[in-house]
Amino acid sequence: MKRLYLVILLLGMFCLTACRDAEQTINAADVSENDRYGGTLTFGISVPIVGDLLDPHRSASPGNSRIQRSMFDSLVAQNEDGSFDPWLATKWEISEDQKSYTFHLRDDVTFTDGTPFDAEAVKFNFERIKKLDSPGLSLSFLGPYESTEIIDDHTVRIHFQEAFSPFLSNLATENLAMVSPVAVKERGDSFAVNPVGSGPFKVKDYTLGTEYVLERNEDYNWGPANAGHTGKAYLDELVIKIITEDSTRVSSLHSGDVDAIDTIPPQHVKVLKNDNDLNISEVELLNYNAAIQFNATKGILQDKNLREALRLGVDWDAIVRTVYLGTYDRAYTALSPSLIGADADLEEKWEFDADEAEDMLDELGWKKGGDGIRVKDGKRLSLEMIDFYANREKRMDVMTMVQNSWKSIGVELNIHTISRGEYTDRRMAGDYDMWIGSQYGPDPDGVLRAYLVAKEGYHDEYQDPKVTEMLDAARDEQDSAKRAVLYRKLLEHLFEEVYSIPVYVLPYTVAANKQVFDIGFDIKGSPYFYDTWIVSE
Amino acid sequence: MLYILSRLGMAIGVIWGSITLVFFIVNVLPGDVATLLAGDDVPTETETIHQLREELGLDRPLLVQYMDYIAGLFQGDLGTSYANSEPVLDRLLDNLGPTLALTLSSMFVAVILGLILGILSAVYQNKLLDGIIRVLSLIGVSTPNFWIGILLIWIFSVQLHLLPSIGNGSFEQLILPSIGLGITGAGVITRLIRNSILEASNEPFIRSLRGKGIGQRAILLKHILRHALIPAVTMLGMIFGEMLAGSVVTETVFSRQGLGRLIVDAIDQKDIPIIQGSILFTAVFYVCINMLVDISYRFIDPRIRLNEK
Repeated sequence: MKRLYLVILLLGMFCLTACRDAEQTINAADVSENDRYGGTLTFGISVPIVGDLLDPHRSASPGNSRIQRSMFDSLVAQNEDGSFDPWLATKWEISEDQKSYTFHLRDDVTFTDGTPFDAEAVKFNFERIKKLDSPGLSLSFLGPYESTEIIDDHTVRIHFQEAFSPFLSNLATENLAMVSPVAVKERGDSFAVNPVGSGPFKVKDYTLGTEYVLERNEDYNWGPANAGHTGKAYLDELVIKIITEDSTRVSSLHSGDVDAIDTIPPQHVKVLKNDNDLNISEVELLNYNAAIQFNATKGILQDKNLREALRLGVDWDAIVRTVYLGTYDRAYTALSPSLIGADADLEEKWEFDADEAEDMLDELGWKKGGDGIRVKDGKRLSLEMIDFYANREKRMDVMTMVQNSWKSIGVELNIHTISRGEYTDRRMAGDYDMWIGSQYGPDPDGVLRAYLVAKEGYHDEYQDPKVTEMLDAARDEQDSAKRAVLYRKLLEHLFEEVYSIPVYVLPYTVAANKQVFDIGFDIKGSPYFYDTWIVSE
Repeated sequence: MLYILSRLGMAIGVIWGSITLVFFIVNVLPGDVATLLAGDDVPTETETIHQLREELGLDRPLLVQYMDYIAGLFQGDLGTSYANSEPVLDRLLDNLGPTLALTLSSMFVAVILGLILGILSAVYQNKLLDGIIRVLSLIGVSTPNFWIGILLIWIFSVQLHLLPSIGNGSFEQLILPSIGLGITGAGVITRLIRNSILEASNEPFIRSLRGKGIGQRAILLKHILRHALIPAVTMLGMIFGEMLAGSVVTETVFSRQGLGRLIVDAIDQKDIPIIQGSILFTAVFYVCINMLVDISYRFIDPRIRLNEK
């Protein structure tokens, strides 16, 4: 009898949860703009804020930009088709020789500490980036920057040492967004954690490591021209919670502890898509696609044919499908599909032929030894991979499958997961055969350089002057159609030389409950909450 | 008094040892802090790195840095974070409360659950209830606490909508994490209490009490339990250490603020001052709790007091 009660009790509990009132679906078009104001959105993000840095000029991490984008304004805004819209700059001209950019600035903008935004402020911002000890991505985004000339209170001219076509794209990111010069001086060191911008939201409170509470900037009236509305943001408050554990993040959305979350793990995407209480949006992150990068100038992988055999011997399609359950696309080039130049169709060049890979290895003189691993001149075909990200984006699941594929053609892969410090040391010394990584950015120039051109102090994996030449040529080209052709040639060159094996295209996914509307994304794929509104119950 | 003083001396020794050890381990680990700080995805000029190193005082010999650090400690100065120049002490104090709340409430769960189940298990020795409790405690000991945490969230937050899944600050937010973390400890204590009760029941002094005709219940509560508590209390110090270690995982699973999470993020960025500060705090707790445990023996077991005289 007791058991029966228990069963009834359990059934009752599940019924209660299952039979919650079906929410009425709200039609966004029926809600007038005035009714959209108010409410708090709680958003769970998947990655920690690296160094707790909200200062846009010091961070280089996609997690940080998920908060920064709604706090800082840029001079221009970039649209999905690559064109630009006014933001803090109302219009701009580019000189004949493409070495100087003149911007006409809005005259009604103030930072949230009351400091007016003007030509001085723009000059201060760019010069600050040049002087910072640890300038994140911002310094490289400035390229061959020379100086800022103040024409009048609301006109500036930026001079470059040479033509720099990626400038507008870079300028549209939060890495080159405007911060308050007065706050920089007043706050000193603490500006890094608690900076001041001119954006639709400002910091109200934070608990480093777990939570940021942003409140609306009530004076805001200078949104980008491509936004959905004008005036101040709709939301009263925006609470960002850092929830790194995948299953907890998904659970907290189900339980209602948060209204929206990002980076949905592949195994949850299907379930959440079928959940009538939730909406999923997905954008492509503009990226140097996650790729296995070879050390082509040290060790056995200097042999291009060997690198090619490694690429040929793996069924990349099957691996990406298996690991990501169809939620991530295969990558065929170094650049993610929406980046300029990436539309090149290199797809047909890829093939999978394990037998051919084995023949190639035989021809190269690598003969199978007793344990199935190939040997040449007493040296085993054994490769070392280094990584410090643990299983970020399930990369190590991918690598384990690659390890098996290579093993079956007689190649041994050892994967070393090490601390970031040791990793950096080994990258600098060139003590590895391969690593895996991706880099986000709005323009191919920045992301390609980050991976293809050796940084000072780092081991040069390619030592290929042709790559630098091609990169320079593309950077100097202003015509975007011609630029695309140049990048396509470079991608083909990378394919021929097998410097890397692009694996997957990383999407940025956001799941939100049905009360949340219009979470926007900037061109790079960072969420932007200016137009976001929420229906309060 | 002398006893407490000598304990105190040992405690300070342990704390000094642990910070010294950590100082040298962290500094010997590969990875140049200045290079990491400047950002590894950006072109770095050696000029910048040199400047950074100088500013952080990393260009001085390790021993000088060490002496400097110890001297700072005596003045209550734990340094500033390499990553963002925030004072380390502030960061630690911010994170101290949530971690203490979590570990202490997990201990509470572990002790209460462990005591009840342990006594029941011993009283109903070899009966069905004993079997069930023994299996449960085995599961508790061997299940990783992150998995228990995820399960608790699924049942109580997602299905029943009873408790919040994430965050810290309120009492409700403390319940699931403490149960998740406490269950492991409860398993250990249950088994320990059961065994020591059964052992004590066969001691001659218990047999003579029975012979005197004293009731079973009075014997159990007044005599056996007191005897059985000693190993359990010893274990408490160790379990506290385990809870502190477990809080690293639990804080991540429940997205809580705390020392565990702070330390993980700091290690990733090689933010040495934060790592050292966290270890210092953790060592101080651990030592304090174990000192309390040592002192409490004297009250539970009069023989220890008598031996001293």
